[in-house]
This record gives sequence, C-alpha cells and structure tokens, in this order.
Amino acid sequence: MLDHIMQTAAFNATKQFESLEKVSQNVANMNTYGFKNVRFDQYLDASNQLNGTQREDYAQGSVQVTGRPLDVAIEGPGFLPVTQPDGTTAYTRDGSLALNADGYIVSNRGDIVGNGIKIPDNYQEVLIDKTGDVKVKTTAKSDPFKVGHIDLVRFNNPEGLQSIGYNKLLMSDDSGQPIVDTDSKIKQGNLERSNVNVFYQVDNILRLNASVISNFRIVKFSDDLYRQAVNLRQ
Amino acid sequence: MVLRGYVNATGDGLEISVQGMMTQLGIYDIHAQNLMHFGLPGYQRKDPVVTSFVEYLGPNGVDKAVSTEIGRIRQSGNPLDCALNTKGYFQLMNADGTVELTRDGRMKMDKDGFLRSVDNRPFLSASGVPVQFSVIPTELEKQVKITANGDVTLYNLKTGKIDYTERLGIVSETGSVADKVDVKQGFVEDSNVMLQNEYTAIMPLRRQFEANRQLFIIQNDTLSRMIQELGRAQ
Repeated sequence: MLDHIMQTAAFNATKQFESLEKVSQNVANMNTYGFKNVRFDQYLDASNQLNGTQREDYAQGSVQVTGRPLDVAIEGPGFLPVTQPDGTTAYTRDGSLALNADGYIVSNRGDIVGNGIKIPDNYQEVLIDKTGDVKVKTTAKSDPFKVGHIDLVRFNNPEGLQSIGYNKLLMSDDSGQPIVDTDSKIKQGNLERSNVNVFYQVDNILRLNASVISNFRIVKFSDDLYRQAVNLRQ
Repeated sequence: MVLRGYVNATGDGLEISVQGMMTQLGIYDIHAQNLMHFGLPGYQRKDPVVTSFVEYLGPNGVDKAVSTEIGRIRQSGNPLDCALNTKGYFQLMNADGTVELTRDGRMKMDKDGFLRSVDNRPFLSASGVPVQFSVIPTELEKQVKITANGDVTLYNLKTGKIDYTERLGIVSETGSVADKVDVKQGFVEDSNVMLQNEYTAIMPLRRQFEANRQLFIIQNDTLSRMIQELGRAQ
C-alpha cells in the first residue's frame, strides 16, 4: 500500500513539473509576437491515473504599432499560410515579414508567404490593406498597383493544429481543413503581441508549487511509516 | 494466543495491533489520494469512514465517502470553462455509450463543433445527446455565452441573431435533473481538498500508527519474556 502511494505521489509530482514547464514556456515567450498561451490541463484517466494534455489558447493578442511596412497583425481568427522550403504549407500568426533576395515576401523564418508575392525591384512603398491586397508604389506620387494577395485561412478547431516550433503550425486531422477567412483583418505596420497573461501564470506557479510540495510531503511521510513498519522489532 | 496448560497470555493483542496499523494505513491512503489530487479541477475529496469492529476487519473496515462540498472557484479566462456553483454534475459520454458524471467543466470545441472534455469525451445536453454547435463559431469569447442555468448560446456576429442554443445536462448524484443550478462561464472549479485539513488529519494518524506499533512491541516483549520464564519454571 505504502509503496503504491509513494509511486503515485512521485508520478503526480512529475506531471506537475510538466505543467510548470508550460508555464515557463509562456513566461519565456511573453514578448514573442503572435505567440499563443499554452496550458497543460490535467485530468484523471480511465485507470484513475493523473494524465494531462497540452492546450493552446487562440484568443486574440493585443496589437502593437511598430510602423514597419512589412509588419502585419491579424485581427480575428485567421492564420497566415507560409510555404516552407520543402513545399509544405505551415500556418503562423507571427506577421513580422521581410523581403528575400529574390524580392518575395517571406516570414521571419524565411518561408514564402502564401504562394509567393513578388515585389518589383524598383518599389518605393509597399501597401497591404486590411483585406490582404498587396500593392506597390514605384514613385512617391504614382498610383499603387496590386502585385498579390495574402489569403488568410482559419480552422474549425485551431487547438488541433500541430505545433512544429518557430511559431509555426501544421494542419492535422483534429484541426480540420483550412477555410478561407475573409472576416479577419490585416493591419499593416502592427504586430500581434502574445496573449500570455502574466497574472494567470503567477497564479498557476503558486498552485503548482503547492501541489508539488504536497506530493513530496506524501513521499516523505509514507517513507517514515514504511521505516517504522519494517522496524517492528525495536 | 493460548498456550497449552490454559494460560491465556495476550489474547488477540498482537493481531489487533497489526490490524490497527493496517487501518491507519488505509485511512492514510485516502488522505494521500486527496492530497495528490489537490490541484485537479473538479476533483471531489473522499472522507474516510471507519466501521465498527475495525480492530478485526483492518483496512477492510475503512470506507470512503465522497464529499459533495463545492470546491474553490477561480477565474480561468477561457470562454469554454464552466464551473458549477451548486451541487450537481455535468454528464460525459464514454466511447461505449455509458454516461459518466463529472464536476470538471473545462470544455473544448472540436472541428465538428462538439463540446468535449479535456480527455475528449462529449458533454451531454439536457435532452441526452452530445452538445454540438450547428455552426462553427470563429471567435469563442464573443460568440459563445453560457448562462447561469446552463444554456449554451451561439451568437452570429454578422446578423446579431442566435444560431444555436442548447441546455447542458446537469444532474444530481442520483441521475435526476438538478432543479437549481448556477453555471459560471470562464471559471474553473478546483478540487474541494483543503490542504490544511488533510495534513491535520494525517498528523494524529501517524501517532496512532506509532501507538499501535509500540503496543505490538510491548506485547511481543512480554510474550517472549513469558515464554522464557515459563521454560525455566520446573
């Protein structure tokens, strides 16, 4: 009985450490643009054992003005599709874009945005309107002309998207197919900050700390009883 | 123990002391489970109940009663988290069609619009079918409202009309429909385990365990001394 209690307590403590890992991930990424808060929700599974699952919170982050013409923030549930070097499509909310050597708009990881939007070499100014139309002015006074369009997509269940690091996500069976999103707005010259709420993180740390300590107290307590039970002859 | 020659030495003393220690361990196990699940939302603490003749029954004489006290309710910031501020349970459907009761109201929406628990089991509505949105909401915090009586309402942001409404199936522990409910959207109910109560409960347990152990040792010593003395008597 005692060894069972000790094992479960130690196992639960490791699960709490896993939760703490997510909290530190959130705090570390508090200033990462487009980062979404992750949680580790714990539950008792069918065999009455503590288990947990990682969940992302896709609520809108606050939008910060940067003034850089290739910074775009997404207002709404949309994602920015990017084509990775191997040809697969990934999705991101991080809109700090740039131009690569060939003149294409790329993400900050160097992935081409959409199917490739080429900006002419002689451009003076890039304009991205809220619907995603990318226009270019060649001289300060000339009329802007359209060179491409950023198609935003959304998912029925964004929580089901698979994270592959670098703030990028892949479609999965759980997320559903990408749907063209015309409701979300693009804001040029802005970036979306992370939606991490530091107060919730502190609250989480305090609760997890209490949980870890109480689990280890149980291990210690059980160990004391164990020793006494073994040394019955003294 | 009965020695030949009708000397009734210690009765069942040794046996009773061992059973006493086992009983303390049985009670300790229940408190340890409570402490280990302190941080688990919706967990209901178990209180040990000791029957008569426990000195003969040992740990079999210890039973547990589920405490239906309402746990600590805290804000979580997730629009699909629900806490029950009254007694009662949400209903979850298992894969084999059986219904399980839970107070853990953390919900998530899958790609088909089903409201699911953290471990992916669908929540049941008052009419006994899984709750499924007819239209997939894009912005949960703006569109989904869960009222105090458990009505899940889905607003259409464009038309301002209600697209879908369904009442969550909240039942009492006997399975009948709970007559008075108070659902709090955006809140999570933590376990109703009180750390201080659990620790103060296990402190005397340890002393009782030690007392039984001491009694065992004393009886054992007396018995062995008696056997030696009797062996010397001619």
